[in-house]
Amino acid sequence: MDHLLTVIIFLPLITAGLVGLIRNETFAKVSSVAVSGLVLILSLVLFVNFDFERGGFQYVTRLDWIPTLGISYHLGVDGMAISLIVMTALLFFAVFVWSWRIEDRPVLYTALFLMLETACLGVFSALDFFLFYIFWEGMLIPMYFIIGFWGHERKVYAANKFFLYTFFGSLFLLLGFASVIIYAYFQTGEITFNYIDHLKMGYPLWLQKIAFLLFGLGFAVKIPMWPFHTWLPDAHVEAPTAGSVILAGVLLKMGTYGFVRFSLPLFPEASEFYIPLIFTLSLIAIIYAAMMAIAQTHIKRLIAYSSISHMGIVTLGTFAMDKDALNGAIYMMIAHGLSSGALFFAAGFIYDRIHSYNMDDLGGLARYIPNFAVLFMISGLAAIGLPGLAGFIAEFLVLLGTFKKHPVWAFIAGVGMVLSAAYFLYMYKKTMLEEDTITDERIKKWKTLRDVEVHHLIPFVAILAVAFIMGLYPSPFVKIFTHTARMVLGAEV
Amino acid sequence: MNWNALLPEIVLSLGILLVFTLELFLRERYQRALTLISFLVVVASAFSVFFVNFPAKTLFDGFSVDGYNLIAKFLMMAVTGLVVLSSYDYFSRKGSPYGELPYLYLIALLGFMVMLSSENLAIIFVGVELASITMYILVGLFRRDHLSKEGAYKYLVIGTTGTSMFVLGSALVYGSTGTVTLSATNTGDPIFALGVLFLISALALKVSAVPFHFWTPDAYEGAPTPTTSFLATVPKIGFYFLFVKLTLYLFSTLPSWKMVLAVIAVASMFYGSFMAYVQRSVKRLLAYSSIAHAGYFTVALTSVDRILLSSLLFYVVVYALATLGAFTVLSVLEKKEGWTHHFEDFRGLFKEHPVLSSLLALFLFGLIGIPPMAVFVGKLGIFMGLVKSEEIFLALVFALASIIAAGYYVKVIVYMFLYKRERGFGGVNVSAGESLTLFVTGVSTVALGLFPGVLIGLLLRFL
Repeated sequence: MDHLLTVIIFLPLITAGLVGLIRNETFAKVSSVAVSGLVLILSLVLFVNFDFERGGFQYVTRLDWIPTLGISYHLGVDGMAISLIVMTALLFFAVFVWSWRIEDRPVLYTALFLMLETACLGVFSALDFFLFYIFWEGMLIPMYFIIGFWGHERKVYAANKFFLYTFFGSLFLLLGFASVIIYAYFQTGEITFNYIDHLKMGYPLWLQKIAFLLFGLGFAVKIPMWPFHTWLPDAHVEAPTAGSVILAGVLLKMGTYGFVRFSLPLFPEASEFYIPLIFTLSLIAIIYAAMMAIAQTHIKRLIAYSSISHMGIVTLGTFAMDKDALNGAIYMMIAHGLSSGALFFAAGFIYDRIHSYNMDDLGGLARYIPNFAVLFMISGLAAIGLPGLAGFIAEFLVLLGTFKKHPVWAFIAGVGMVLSAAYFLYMYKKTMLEEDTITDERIKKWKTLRDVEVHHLIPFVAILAVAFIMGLYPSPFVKIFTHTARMVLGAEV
Repeated sequence: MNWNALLPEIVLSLGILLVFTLELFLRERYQRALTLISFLVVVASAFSVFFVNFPAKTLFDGFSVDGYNLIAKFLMMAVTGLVVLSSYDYFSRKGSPYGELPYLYLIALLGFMVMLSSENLAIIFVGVELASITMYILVGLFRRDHLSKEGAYKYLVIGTTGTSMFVLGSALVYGSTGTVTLSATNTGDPIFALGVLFLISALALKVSAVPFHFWTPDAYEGAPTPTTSFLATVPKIGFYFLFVKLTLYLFSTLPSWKMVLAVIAVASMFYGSFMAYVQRSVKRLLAYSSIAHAGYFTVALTSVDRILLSSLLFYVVVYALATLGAFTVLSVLEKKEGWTHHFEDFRGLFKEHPVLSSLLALFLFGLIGIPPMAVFVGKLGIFMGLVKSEEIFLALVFALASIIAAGYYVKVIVYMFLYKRERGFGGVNVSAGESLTLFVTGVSTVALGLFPGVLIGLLLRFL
């Protein structure tokens, strides 16, 4: 049990190596599904055995790595991290099943996604700044090539933009790590990269204010918060389906995870100080991105803007300094990971069948591919927070928690969320309904379309089932996240 | 007389004489064997390092061995061995299989080894000269090629200026203190300061730091590519080990040494990076990247701190490995007909050579300093060390310059991976020596990033 976390993290990487060595298409596909399934099962084992009554980190592994610089191989998870790990494992499993039919360079594709999985799982379990940063940067190169190789027309532009934005952000994050490590060095005379040591340090306000901004810039680019969001629509539009799913479902969560894991507990006073800034940016993101989404005709671009809008809710809840709001924010990370994943799968399905993302080329599909229409509807309703699905609980908790201390902000955010229903229903209408306005020629083409196949169905069902469970029976999950909230906001809440 | 202390040098010298003699008598078709023998000589010499008892002094205290210079020697021999092995096929494809080539590499290596083994400025000078003169010949080895000759000539003229500055510096230090050993202490005399300034300038010239960098792009571009890979790696290791030693003993006794080195370093970082952006040739781009790296290295010399200096040496070593790998990929590609290293040649290279281009991408990502590649640890160590020595401003400038540098390396990768191929050059086969070099450098670039403690610990122990 002690080293299971290490096994989970590095299993995909080792498989990636094997896939690269053997270079057989069937082996690549079978092993990726099998290994990601195994990782999902093992992460569920960890999840089930997790002791939610006990505070602090569990499944801790700590080995010396570079003693001269105080760097160790230090892993451990709390309630938030273990939930995100399960979600990551689930999404990667879904992605590998979905990619069963891929024809363009499947070996390289599988190997890159497996590498990406290791990096993502690592980010959520590293407790050493150095290790965290390695995993954090480790996802950059595979994702860069995934967009650059399997993307659509403007893939090179999108891949470069993605690389430069995230690399720029990460360097500020690195400077942030350096600033706190250096302060700790001058205080104690020891260089340490250990997260736990820094948690106990207690920095002065001036340092907190600087370091918060440095960390925050790194995370804000990744989330992405307004005004650092411009890379995201391009990356999503150009990325292949599976890349978009992972990008929206997992990679964006790294930024918000970073806020909860590092910014809040390490810089509590600065977090309080920057509340107006964060709230303003979050609300701009919620409303501006939702308005932008309404204006889109490209379905992936629309979903991308909706992601920015939803991530605004997460940052709002994170910095409301309230247990319920923070629970809601973490809930939202998972819920949005599931719903945006499902939506991007839906967009990918449409593209597979019709080879267009543009709403003007679609319309009236519901009659011809009914099963897909149902799945698409559920995915969309999960995204807009319909009661009974995970997103509702998340939005409700965030608004509830924020309302306690900041009623005006909560009210504006609530108005913004209504917009999400508008853009999703508009998109659904334009793509699935509106039979009367489309040409006969198109209907003839629609009649030949195949509905969802097994390798499409499994990812949808797996993801939506979890969304339903989390929406109908939220209390155990809330309890899990409270485990983190207690640690982050201090014992009294 | 303590012969044991001289063991690696003796093995190497005997080997050089052997290869030299054989080269006179063997016919051209046996020259592949010469490469192999030279490699074995390097291996034997590297192996003999383990049998040296240290610390020890010999030759009337003019020659000393300690852990510090043994590590340096071992690393230089490892890199030279790889260069020797990987160079043969390139020269035979180019139709100029020079039998002199392998032993010239070894002589240059011997020069660096002598240079590092002494605490006497006069003997250091002998080593520097031996290495430098050999390298002038190496750069100009393509006798019929204009670029090669031009590079060699520039290198000769500017390099000689450097060595004469070194002599002048040593003479002035001698004039002021009455000794040419490193134990010379600051007399407060302007002559001493001038001498140290000359020594710093000479070393800055040898490591191609601004404003003494003018020879670098031409020599790097003109030299046959395997020689460039030698030029960009072994001298860097040798001169930085020397630079660190001289800084510890001599330079840091001068109050204004910090200022001089900081100016040189910052100028090199930015000049190298900005010039690299406008290059159209990847080989020349790497030459400018080496100027920028001279800046990153030199900035770490502005403070005397063990963590800082050991990170610097670690950085130099892993930089050398990544650069060796990158240049080896270039020399493999150059074996193709009509290959010029122009960016357009690299368009869509991934389609044709997935392994070679992935390796080049690995080395370039490594040079940017993306974890888990080893250069990241070097950069991190220098940054932390600078801050530890309370040089916050330099640390920030260093970080900024590293960010700026990312763009031009990525440009090469973008051309290789994301653009479409427009013209083909036909295939190329990778020789055994080249694949060994690529394998070793590729693995060590990643492995030293994951387990840097091995090398840093060793350096810290003997610094």
